[in-house]
Amino acid sequence: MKRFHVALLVALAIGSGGCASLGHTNAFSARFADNQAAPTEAVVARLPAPQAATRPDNASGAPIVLITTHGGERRVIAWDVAAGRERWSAPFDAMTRPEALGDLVLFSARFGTGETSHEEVVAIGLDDGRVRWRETHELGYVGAAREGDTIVLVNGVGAQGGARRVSHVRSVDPRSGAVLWEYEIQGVLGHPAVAGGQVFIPWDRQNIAVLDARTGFEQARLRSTDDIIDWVDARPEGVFYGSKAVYRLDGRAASGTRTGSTYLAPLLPAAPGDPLIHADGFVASPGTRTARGRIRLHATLSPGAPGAPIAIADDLVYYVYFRYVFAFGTDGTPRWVRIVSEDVIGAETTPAGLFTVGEHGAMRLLDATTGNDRWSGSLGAEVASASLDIAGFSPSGEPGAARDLKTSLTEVALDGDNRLVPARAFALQMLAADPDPGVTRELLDMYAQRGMPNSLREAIGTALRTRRTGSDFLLAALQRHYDFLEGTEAPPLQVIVPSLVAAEERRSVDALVTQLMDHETPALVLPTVVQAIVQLGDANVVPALRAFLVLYHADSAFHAAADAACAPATPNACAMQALALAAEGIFKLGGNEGREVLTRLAANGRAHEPLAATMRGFFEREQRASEEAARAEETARQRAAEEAAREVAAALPMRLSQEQINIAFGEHTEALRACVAEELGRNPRLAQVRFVFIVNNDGTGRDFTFAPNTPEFVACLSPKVSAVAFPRFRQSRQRASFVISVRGGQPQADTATEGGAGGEVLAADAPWWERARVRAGVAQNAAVTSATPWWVRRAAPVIAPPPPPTQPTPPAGTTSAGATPGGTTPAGATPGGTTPGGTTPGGGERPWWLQSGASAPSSAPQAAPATPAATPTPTPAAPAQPTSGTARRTPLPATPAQPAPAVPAQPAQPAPAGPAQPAQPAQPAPAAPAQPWWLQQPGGAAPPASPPAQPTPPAGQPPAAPPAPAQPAPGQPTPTQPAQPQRPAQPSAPPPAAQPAPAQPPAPAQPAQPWWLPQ
Amino acid sequence: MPRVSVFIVLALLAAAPAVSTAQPRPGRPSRPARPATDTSGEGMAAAPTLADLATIVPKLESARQDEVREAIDLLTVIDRPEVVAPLSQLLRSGQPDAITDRALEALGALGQASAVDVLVEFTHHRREAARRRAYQALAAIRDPRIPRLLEQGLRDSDRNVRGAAALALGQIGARGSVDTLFIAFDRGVIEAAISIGKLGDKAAVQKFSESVGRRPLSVMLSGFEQFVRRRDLDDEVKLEIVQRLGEVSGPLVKTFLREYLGTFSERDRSALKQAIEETIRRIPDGPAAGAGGAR
Repeated sequence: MKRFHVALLVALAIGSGGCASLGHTNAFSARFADNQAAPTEAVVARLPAPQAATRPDNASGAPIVLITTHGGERRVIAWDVAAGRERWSAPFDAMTRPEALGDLVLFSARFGTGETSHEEVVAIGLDDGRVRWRETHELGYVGAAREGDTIVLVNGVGAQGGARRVSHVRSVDPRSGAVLWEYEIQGVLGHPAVAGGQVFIPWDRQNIAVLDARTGFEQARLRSTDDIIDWVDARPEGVFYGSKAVYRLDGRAASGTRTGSTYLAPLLPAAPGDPLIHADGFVASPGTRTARGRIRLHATLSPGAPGAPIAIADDLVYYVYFRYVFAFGTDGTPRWVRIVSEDVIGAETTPAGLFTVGEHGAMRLLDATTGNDRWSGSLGAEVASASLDIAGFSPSGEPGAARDLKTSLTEVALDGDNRLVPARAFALQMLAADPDPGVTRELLDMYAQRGMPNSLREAIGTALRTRRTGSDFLLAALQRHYDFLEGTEAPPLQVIVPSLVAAEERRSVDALVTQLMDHETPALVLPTVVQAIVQLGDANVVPALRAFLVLYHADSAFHAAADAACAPATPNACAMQALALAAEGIFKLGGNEGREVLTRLAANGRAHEPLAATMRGFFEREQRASEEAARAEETARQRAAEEAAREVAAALPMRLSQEQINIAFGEHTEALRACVAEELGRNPRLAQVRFVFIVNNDGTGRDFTFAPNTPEFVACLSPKVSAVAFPRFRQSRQRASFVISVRGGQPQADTATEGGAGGEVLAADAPWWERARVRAGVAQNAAVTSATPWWVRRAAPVIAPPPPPTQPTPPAGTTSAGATPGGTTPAGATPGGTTPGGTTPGGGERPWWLQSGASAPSSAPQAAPATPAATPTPTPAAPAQPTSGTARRTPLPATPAQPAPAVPAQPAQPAPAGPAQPAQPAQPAPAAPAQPWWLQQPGGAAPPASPPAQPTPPAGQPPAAPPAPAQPAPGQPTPTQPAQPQRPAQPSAPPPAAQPAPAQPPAPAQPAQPWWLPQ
Repeated sequence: MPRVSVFIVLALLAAAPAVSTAQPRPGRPSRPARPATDTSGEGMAAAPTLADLATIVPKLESARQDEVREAIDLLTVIDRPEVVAPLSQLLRSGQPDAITDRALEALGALGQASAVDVLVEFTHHRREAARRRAYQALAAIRDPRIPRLLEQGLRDSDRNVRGAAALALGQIGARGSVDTLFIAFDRGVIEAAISIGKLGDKAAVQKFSESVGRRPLSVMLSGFEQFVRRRDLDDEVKLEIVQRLGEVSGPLVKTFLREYLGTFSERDRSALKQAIEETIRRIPDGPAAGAGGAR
């Protein structure tokens, strides 16, 4: 067992050692978990505390510059900066930039020539430059890092593409170069970094493998998901990695994301040349002269606690572009800019400023504040590459006064090095951003410089066009004209004029006119000048435009095809465009005189046809615009009129009310009176005149029919009624009627005429037309509800009443006669035609319904009923009264005469179906209970059990108007009648018929004879 | 021969504009030939006069260019100050190129001071040919303003205009413009050499001589040629010129001096003539004829 255990232990030891030598399972395994918090924390814990670098990293502690030379015998030289002298110089054809690693300097060098040429990694002593060891490797050297006794080297191929991607990382003994551990992977590894006994190796531009420096075992792995990882750098300030952006390797790095890590965004993103803040770790820095690396950012990262934001020391970032060195704040604000004498091959930041090494060996320390030389030296050699280890180098010496930034930027922009145009344009942009008016002058001077590269001139032009300050300098430039003898160039109008126009600089108009008339003004810019003159000027520029147009409208230099575009190759097209613009300016500003000029020029036959067509087009366009405006105005006017008509129509009533019709006729009372009087003369018995007609919605009447319709009467009325103008209404037309109750009657109180709403008082015997007129006037006051419809209350004609029939007095309580369908007869109405109260319709004469045709039963006039109690109750609709003119209406039976007993007031009866009737004043109860007419038999026979069916008024016909209130018998006090409410608008129905005459004195009761029975 | 031909050509070039536009100074400008076509419609055999102005001027507004040209020619024949106004109006009304140029030439032929204003306007015309004709027309007018106006032509961007202006200054004898001509000469207006030769004094000769070696020899010789032909310059000055040319030497100089020697009579025994002969003798003959040429 013991033997077994020992063998097992030996096997384990061999296995671990073998694993260490092979390394395939202890690092770079695909199964290794990345972005783990705990391992990452463990890595961070082993790192030394961040601190500012105060001394160089190399073993001597002295600021050292290592260079490879260019041209002739190539050498590697170590220069002691503080001592100001060369430490050693060793002849090597260095292929990579030498790196100081402790007491060694490592680089790849080429040995042999021709077919025997090969590269080896060479380690030479920092103090003497002698070779300590050399190593041959089939893969290209990438880089090395050292901490203490650990040197880690990386070789590889495939970082810049290709099918083969193999890398080799190893830890070697610094003294002998013996390999302590190594790995070879299928992948690309970058320049390693060592800190805290750990090796940080960027891997495939996405990962960082953290290996234990002693064992080579992988401790942790970071994988970035948001950025590529081009480099890892271990500094006293901390371990950083990234590409253009910078990440700090701390506990948050395990997130692998930008937001989850300690992250610094790329600095100066607008700087041309895509500068890097750190060299690409996957490509060895070349030891031969190259343009790589001459566009760089340099900044010192401040030491910070894990998780603290990454800060830039002194808030200073240096941007090196070959010979130009810019200093910016981290917010992008330029601090200073410096042009040095030679391209910067290598640079490193120090607290004092930026230490630079030029390609011809010049060394400078540019002061951080001013950019002036704080220190300078010379290597005395042509430099191919340089690496600096000068942390803490701070020579004494006054940097001098700060240089004016604008002046420096101008110098950069004007610098004649045409390799550096992008940086010059960059400086120009910074200069143009300054609103100082003096910058405008600088830009103008720069634009005028001969030999200015086109791209730079365009940048200057763009800057000038967008400037809004320094107009005075632009105006001064406008005064300049080409002069061959003086060597004066024409001002850059193509950039000046747009700026003046944008600034609305009207002071420039005169100078622009002078430039317009100057033959040295290039044709290409003529359109711009003319446009500016028109835009900034007023009518005062018209003479100049006219002179220009007239002078050149027939000139060959201004002749081009109609479709030719203004371009540098077609100056004639530009000139013609200028003429067209001048013509347009004259058209707009020149008034009638200007238009005459254009008309004349277009027609004189000398103008080139495209120009003539353009001038004619102004008028045609104006004409078209005018027509369109007129059409639009007309359309708007029509729409407004239609809208107004709609509003007017909407305000119209749907139909005319009877009152409105009455009012309309009321205005023609005098005219109608003559006709009615004539007819009355022909027919003294004329009681009523009725007009039935059609009213159109425009207020005109037509299709008048009259009752009576005697030819004379019709002939008289027709022209007069045609002149009646009715109000407008919405319905297309309506049927209407108008009734004139001709009988004058006894003088009666007429509230409509006595102090009615109109206030006019008529005599008691005022003729009907006066009453009608007054009533019309009263009716016009719609709010006056006291007007009494004239058809209700009207003086009966003075005609002797027929003798009342004699009939027995009906027992008390008997209802009044003649209940009609939907209504009741007026109380007390007598079959003899007497109305309640005993009066007969028509006054003293026999009512018309008793006069013609059937012999009405004689009936003694009954005693007039007693004055009814004036209890206003809604009066039931009266039985339909015979009306003239309504041929379709079936006259309802007359209410038989009733004796005039005192009867209680009739209860309110429901109104018949149809338009709502206004409350009618209380009808006086008959003085005596009257026997319904259907109960009355000749000779006193019992009346039939039930009254014969009453003719039903045709459908749609409104029920008969309620009976007139009982009139007191002559001599009896006149009952005070409550004011009749106005009727609402009725459908086309004849107005209520003339009501029976007021009550007549009671006549002796007589047996009533139904009307249908022969008398 | 090629060297001689180049020299002759250059001299002809210098003389041609003077022949075409120069007016004999002092004196009235020569009148152009009477138009061949009789446009009066009435068989006008006599030259038009001022009385015909009313019938000729309306033809300037004709839509036919040939009619306008004829009218211009008729007005030129009238050759009175009264014709300047209608010609000026014609120019200002904007005409096709041919009419504009014809009218400018007519104003030059008239040589009236009242035409100065309109001619000055046309020295700023955008077409180079119009500007050149305007300057040439100005040169035909006797007016104290003319030298300064012609000097403006030296500032023009077009070399033809500059050359015409430079030659015109020499033709009108504008001695006050010598300094300006020197500036133009230094800037490359070669025609200025001729005018400098016509106008410069002794100091001008020395200054002009300083350009030997910096300017083409043919150009220098065109100026020297004017100097040596002038009667107002002393023989001493001309002698210096000969000596200076002798220092330059060369076949072109030898040819020039031979030509110059040909202007002396056989009985002339002046030191100048002897110096010329001596210089000619000293200058070696160049390569065979046909080789070389003006530098």
